[in-house]
Amino acid sequence: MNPLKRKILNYFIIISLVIVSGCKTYRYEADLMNVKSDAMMRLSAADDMDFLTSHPNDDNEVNSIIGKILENELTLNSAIQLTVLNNPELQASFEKLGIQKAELMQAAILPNPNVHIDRMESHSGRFLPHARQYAQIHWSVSIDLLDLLSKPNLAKISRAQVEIAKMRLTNQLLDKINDVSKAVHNFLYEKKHLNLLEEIFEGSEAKLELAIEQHKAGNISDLDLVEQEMEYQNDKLNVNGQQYKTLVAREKLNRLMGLWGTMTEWVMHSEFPRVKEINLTRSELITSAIERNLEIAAASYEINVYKRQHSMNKAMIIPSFEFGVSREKEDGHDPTSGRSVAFELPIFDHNQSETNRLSAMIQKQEKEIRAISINLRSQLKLLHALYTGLRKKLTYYENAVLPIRKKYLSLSERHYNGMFIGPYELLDVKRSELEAQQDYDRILRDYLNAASDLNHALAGGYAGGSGMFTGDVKTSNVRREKDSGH
Amino acid sequence: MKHKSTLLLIKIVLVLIFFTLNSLGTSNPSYTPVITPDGSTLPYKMVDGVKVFHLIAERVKREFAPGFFVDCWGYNGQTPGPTIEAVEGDRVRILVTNKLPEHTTIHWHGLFLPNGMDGVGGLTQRYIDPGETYLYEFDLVQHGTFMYHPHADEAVQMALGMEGFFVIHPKTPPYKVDHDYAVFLHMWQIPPGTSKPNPNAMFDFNYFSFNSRVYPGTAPVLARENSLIRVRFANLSMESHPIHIHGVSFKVTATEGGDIPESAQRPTTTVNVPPGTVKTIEFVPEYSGDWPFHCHKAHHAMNAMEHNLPNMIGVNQTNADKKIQKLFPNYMSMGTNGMGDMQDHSEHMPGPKNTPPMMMGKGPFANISMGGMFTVLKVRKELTPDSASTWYDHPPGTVSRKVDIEEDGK
Repeated sequence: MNPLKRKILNYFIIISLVIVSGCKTYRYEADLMNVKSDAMMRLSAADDMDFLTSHPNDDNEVNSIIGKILENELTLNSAIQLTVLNNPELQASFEKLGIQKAELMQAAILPNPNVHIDRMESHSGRFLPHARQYAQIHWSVSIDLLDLLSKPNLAKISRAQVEIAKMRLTNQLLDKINDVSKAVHNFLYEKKHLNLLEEIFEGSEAKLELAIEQHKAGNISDLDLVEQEMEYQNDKLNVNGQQYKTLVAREKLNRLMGLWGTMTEWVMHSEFPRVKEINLTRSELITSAIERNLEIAAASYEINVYKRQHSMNKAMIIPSFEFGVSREKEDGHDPTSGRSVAFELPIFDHNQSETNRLSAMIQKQEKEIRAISINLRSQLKLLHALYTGLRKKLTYYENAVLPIRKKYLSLSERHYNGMFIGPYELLDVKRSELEAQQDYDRILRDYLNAASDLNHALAGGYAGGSGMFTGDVKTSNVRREKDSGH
Repeated sequence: MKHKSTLLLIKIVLVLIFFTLNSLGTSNPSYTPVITPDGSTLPYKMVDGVKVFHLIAERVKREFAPGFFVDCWGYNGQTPGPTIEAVEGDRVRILVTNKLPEHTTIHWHGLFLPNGMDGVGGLTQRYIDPGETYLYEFDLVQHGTFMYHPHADEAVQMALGMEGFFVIHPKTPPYKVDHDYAVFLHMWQIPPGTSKPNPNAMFDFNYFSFNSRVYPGTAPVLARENSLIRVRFANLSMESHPIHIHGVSFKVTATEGGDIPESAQRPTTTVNVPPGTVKTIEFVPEYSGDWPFHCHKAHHAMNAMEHNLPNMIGVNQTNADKKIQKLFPNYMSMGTNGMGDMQDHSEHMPGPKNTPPMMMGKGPFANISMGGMFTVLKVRKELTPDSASTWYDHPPGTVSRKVDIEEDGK
C-alpha cells in the first residue's frame, strides 16, 4: 500500500470510529416498559392493571392522567396507578435504569488513543540571538490494547448489570404496589373505624341526653349522671384519637401516591376491595415464591458477573499494554517514524487484591442467597398460617359472629318493645354490634394485607428482615444496602 | 221398621251413657260439682265400693294465654292437675303413675290419713321412680278443700306446676251453693322469649296465674244475680295473694283446716291467700255487671315485665329519641307519661316470641291493660250460653262519661 493510500485508510478508520462512538446514545423507556410488564405478569393482574403497560410521554400527560383519576372516587387500582405514575421514590428509581444503561454504553465505547506531541528547541536560540538555532518535533499515538480486548467482556457485564437493575426495579415496583395496597386497606379500616366510633358516640350522646333529662326529673342520682358523662367523654376522646389515626393513614397514602396541595382532597370508595382467594398449600407457596423471587435471581446474576470479572482479572497478568506509532522531525534531518510499546511490569501488583475482593463478593452473595432463602421459607410459613387463619376467622365472622350480633340486636329491639330492657341496655347492645363490626373490619384488613403479602411473595417480591409481611415494615432496606454496596 | 230399630239403638246408647256416668261418679245430687275454670275434674271408677282415681304425673304443655305456651309438669295433661272430688266417708284409692324424668310422690295436703299415705318421699314412703305406679288408699274422714302436690324435689316440681285440688264435700251439706269454683294461685318465672319456668327462682317472678292461666287467657267466673257462689282459692306459690273481687262482699267460710264458724266469718272484699293455704269464700252477687276479680298486688295483675328498667316517668325524651332513631329507625320512647300506652305500642312493635305483652285485653270501651291474676266476674240476671263471651249491657245513664266541667259539672 502506498503512503497516500495508507494515510487515507488511517484517516477513514479514525473518522469512522469517532462517528460511531459519537452517535451512540441510550434510551431506557423500553426497559422500563419491560419492568412494568414483568410486574404486571408476575401479579397475574393483566386484566385490572393494564395501566402498568402504558408510559406517559411527559409530565403534562402524567398530570392529566392524575387529574382524571382524582375526579372519581379512588379505588385500590387507581391508588396503585397513581403510585406507579407519581411516587417520587419510584420515579427516582426508574432513573437508575438510565444510569445503568449509560454504564452499559460506556462499556461499549472504544477507548480513546493517547496522543503525545513534543517540540524541542536549542537553548542558544533563546539566550544568544546570533547563534544558530534548531527545533525538534516528536509525536506519537498509542492505545491500550488490553482495554480494547476486554471491551466485549465488559459489555456483557454491563448488560448483566442492566438486567440486575431491572430485576431490582421490578422488585421495588412490586414493593410499592404492596405498600400502597396495604395503605389503602389500612386507610379504609381507619375510616370505617372512625365511622363506627362516631356511631358509638352518637349512642353515648343519646344516653347522656336521657341521663340529663332523668336527672332533671329527679329520677337518677348525681352519681348515675356522672357515670354517664364519663362514658360520653371517653367515647368523645376515642373519636378524636381515631380522627388523627385516619389522618395518618391518609397522609401515608398521599406520600405513596405523590400527592400534595389540592390533590390530597380525594375521596376513596368506602368498601374494602374484593380479592381472589389464594388456594395454595404451604409447600406450593414456598416453592413458587422461591422460584420466582427476584432478589434471589438478582443475587444469582450478580454471582455470574463477579465470576466473569474474576476470570478476567485473573487472566490479565499485565494490567496495561499500550501500543502505538511515533514520528520525529528534527531541523535539517529527515523525519523518522516507528512503533512503540508500553506496559506495566507486574512485579508487585498483579491484581491479586481485586481478585480476592471478587472471590469474597462471590462468597458473600452465595451466603446471602442462602440467608434470603431460609428467611423467606420461614416467613412464608408464617404468612401462610396467618393468611389461612385469618380467612377462617373471617369466614366465621361472616357466617356466625356478625349474623348472631345482628340477631342479638334484633331480639333486643323486641325485648325493648316488650319493656324487658330499657334504652340504655338497647344502646349497649348496639355498641356491642358495632364493636363486633370493628373486629370484623380489622380482621378483614389484616386478611387483605396478608393476601397482598402473599401475592407479593408469589410475584417474586421479597420483604427481608424478621418482620416481613406484616404492617408497615419497610420492605426494601436490605436491598438498598445491597444497591449501595456495589 | 228402620225407624223403630234406630229408636231402639238410641235407647240402648242412652242407658249405657247413664250407667257409665253413674259408675264414673260424675253426678251426685248431694253437692254442686266443683267447676275448675280452665281445668277439669278427675273421673273415678267405683270398684267394690271404693272410688278409684288415676293420676299420671307427666310433662304438660300449657297455653297460659292465646299463643303463649309454657312447658310445665302436671297431672293428666294439665296444670293444675284435675280436681279430685269426693264425699266425706268415701274410701278412695288413688293410683299414681310417674311419667316424669325423676322420682316423685304425692302429698295430700291437709287430709287426715294413715301416716304411710301422707306421701312424703323418704319419710313416709319410697319415692315413685319414673315408670312406676304407686297406690294410695284411705278413708275420707273430713270435708273441706285440700290440695295435692309432690313431696319430692318439690321446689322444682311445684315450681313447674304440679298441684291440684282435693275437694271433699260434706256427707250432709247444710246448704247447696249454685256455683262452686276452684281457683289455684301460682306464680312463675318464665324469662321473656322462653317457654320453661325457671324452678331456681326465689324472687322476681313474672307471671301470676289463676289455674295456670294469665289474663286474657283466664276464663271468666259466671254468676247469676242473687245466687250463692262459692270460690275456693289454693296457693302453693312463694308469696301470698290478696284476691279482690269488685261488686260483691264475701265471707271466708273455710280454710284447708276446716270450716270457719259463722260467728267468726266477717264480710270483706279482699281475701289474702298465703302460701300453703286454702281460703273458701262465699257470696251472693246482687249487682249485675262485669266485675274485676284479681290479685291486688299491682304487679301480679300484669304479665311479664322487667323490674330494673330505668325510671322514665316525667323524663323529656324528645331529643334523645332523635339521636336514638339514627341508630334504631323504629325506636319509640316509652314511659314518660306512664305505661298506659304500652298495650297500643305492643300491637305494632313486636316483642319477644312466646311472650304476651305486659298489659293485654280488649274491653267494650278500650284496652283493659291488665294481665296475670285477673279475670272478670260476670254477674247476670240469668246466665245464658253466651254470658261468658259477651259484655255487660249497661242500663242507660249508668256509665261514667266525659263531661265539660263548665257545663255539666254544676
